Amino acid sequence: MNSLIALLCVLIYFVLLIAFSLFKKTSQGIENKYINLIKPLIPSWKFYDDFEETRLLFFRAKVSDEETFSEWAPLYQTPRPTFPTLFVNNQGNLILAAQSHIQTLIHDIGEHNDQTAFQDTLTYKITKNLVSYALRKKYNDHFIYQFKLSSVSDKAEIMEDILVSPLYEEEASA
Amino acid sequence: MPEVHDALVLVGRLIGLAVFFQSLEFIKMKESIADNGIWRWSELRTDYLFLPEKILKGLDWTMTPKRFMEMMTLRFYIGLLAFLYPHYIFIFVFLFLTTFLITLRWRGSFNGGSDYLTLIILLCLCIGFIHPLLGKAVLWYITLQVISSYFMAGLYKIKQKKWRNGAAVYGFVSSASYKTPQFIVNKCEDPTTAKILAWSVILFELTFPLVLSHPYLTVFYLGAGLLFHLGNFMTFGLNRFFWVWSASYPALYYCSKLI
Repeated sequence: MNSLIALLCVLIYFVLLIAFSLFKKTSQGIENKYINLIKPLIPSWKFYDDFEETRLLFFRAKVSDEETFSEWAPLYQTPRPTFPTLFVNNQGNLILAAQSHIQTLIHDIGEHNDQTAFQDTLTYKITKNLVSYALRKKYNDHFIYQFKLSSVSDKAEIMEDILVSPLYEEEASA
Repeated sequence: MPEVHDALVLVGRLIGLAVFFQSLEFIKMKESIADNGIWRWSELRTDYLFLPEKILKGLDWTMTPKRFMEMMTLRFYIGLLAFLYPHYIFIFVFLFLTTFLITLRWRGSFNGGSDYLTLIILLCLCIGFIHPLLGKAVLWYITLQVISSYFMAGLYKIKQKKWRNGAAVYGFVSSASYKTPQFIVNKCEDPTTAKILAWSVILFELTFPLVLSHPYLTVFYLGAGLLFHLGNFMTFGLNRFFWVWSASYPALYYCSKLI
């Protein structure tokens, strides 16, 4: 009898899940900042459902004013999984976190009002940090760079620019 | 029939192992949270200015790169302790609080779903060891959350035409964001293979609630789940999902025995 009740409860639970999935708003609709803090405890469990197009961060850089810029190049790509990275995959997970940040960036571009400059937003600052962090590993000295967010085709060809940054200058750390 | 305590201990050991690996990853990426890194607390704190001053001061104290890394080092050892001696509530309270701080440090989550399930399991372990009845309740809660994670993912996918015709599979594996092994990309280039793969994933996820229906099906779905997460690791590099979801499986096994 107990087993039957348990099975019935599980069944009702999943019927309710289907019903709610048909009507409920997305988690991005939550406005309350306190509720947002505990959002990780009430996940929506959406994985790889939103298949529209790939958006990537591209950069170009040069080491002096006289030089011409390099071609636009993708900023990152997750490293190929290997057996050791099944246990510890710091580089891969850092890039996955960067990709999650790009989703936030796309969302915030869509939601941004013109009262403040987008460059002043936290999301933009993190994006700029992301680019300069990656480039500091490539360039040993002073460098000038620019980045952009673009939608790309299956073959990673740039289709449309969504955001293009101004030029930035940075001293690489020794 | 397995005891509630045994099931909780096994979940505790496995989530301890997952947290141990996660902490090691954070320690190895310490440059990314430095004052000149990507996620700088001096900038991130502006997201939390609405919090009471005392809490914000507490966060300022905790989130400096040096303290955050000390906390991750401690989390690394406590994760190991959880694997070896998963009987003490304070271990799971500490791991829960530090995981929660990680979600704050990364504006919601560092690794999406794996952070969410880590938090849920750790919270359940904080409660479950108090009394056997609570233990039983939290094992059911973990089970329902894990089944939902597969079921909801399948439900969202089946609504998408590109998943139903297999185009999404090729789209993801060939995406410039991932360095998927070439043989997987080549296989998925064939529309029939891509469609079969897409429907295998959708059907596996949607029928996952059957994991509770029969002992043979429990073994089948948990085995298939492990292979599914290994496949996701090989394709997208999602190693954390493998460890965290594996940690939840003893709870599913326990609950399946109750039906």
